[in-house]
Amino acid sequence: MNCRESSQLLSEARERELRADERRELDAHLSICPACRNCERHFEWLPVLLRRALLG
Amino acid sequence: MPRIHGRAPGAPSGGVALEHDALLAEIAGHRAGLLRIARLQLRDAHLAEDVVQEAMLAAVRAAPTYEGRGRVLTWLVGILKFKIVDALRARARAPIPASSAAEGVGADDVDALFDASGTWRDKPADWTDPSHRLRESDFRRVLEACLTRLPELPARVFMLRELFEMEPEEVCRVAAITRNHLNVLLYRARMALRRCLEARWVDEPAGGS
Repeated sequence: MNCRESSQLLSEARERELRADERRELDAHLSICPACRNCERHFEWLPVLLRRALLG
Repeated sequence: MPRIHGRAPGAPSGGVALEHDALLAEIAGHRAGLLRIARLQLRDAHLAEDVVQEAMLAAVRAAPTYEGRGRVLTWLVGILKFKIVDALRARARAPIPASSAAEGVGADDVDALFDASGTWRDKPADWTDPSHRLRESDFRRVLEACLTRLPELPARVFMLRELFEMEPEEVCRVAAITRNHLNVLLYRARMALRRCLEARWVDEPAGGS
């Protein structure tokens, strides 16, 4: 799995539960890729920031 | 004024905990904030005005039954959400311009973020809480600017999902898109937003204006 595929799954994981094989490959990639771990956190931050900015 | 029947969606029923006049004043005080959300969501200033007007009218009518649990703004945003969804549904019945029908299917913007092997060109940085880096008004301005830079459809579905916390299936129904298309649009919106925010927050000095 490369970073592009990883970031796609990180996004999709917010709308659906990943299959076991997807989860396994993603976790393996994340364990060696700090940039994708940061991306995962950014995707978690986005709704928090959006709501904080617009809903106070 | 048009008569709005029934209880506003999300309006709690029961006793009155807030002074009625104070509640009406608070509803009025949130107008600018609601308008900001509606404009970002609809990208049509007149329609946004209409929708906010309708939401506030519904809130005023529901005010006698408002219990005062939770924040008034949260209650108002719940009402606004229904009005926005109604407006989007009404607009979805109109012919969709070719430009917006094709919008969101291109992958050029995502392509540019990765090299040929699918590795980040600019690696996502380690953010600490980015909202603490800027004053509240600047923080909101940056976020609004980044949202406005997104094409309309990805921005809309992103806000339905992440601001209004709608289920994916519901977003698909409102936006009249498939689940696969939704995944693509949300991915595109998230990638563009994280990059836009990072460029403006991380590269701007802390507390910058």
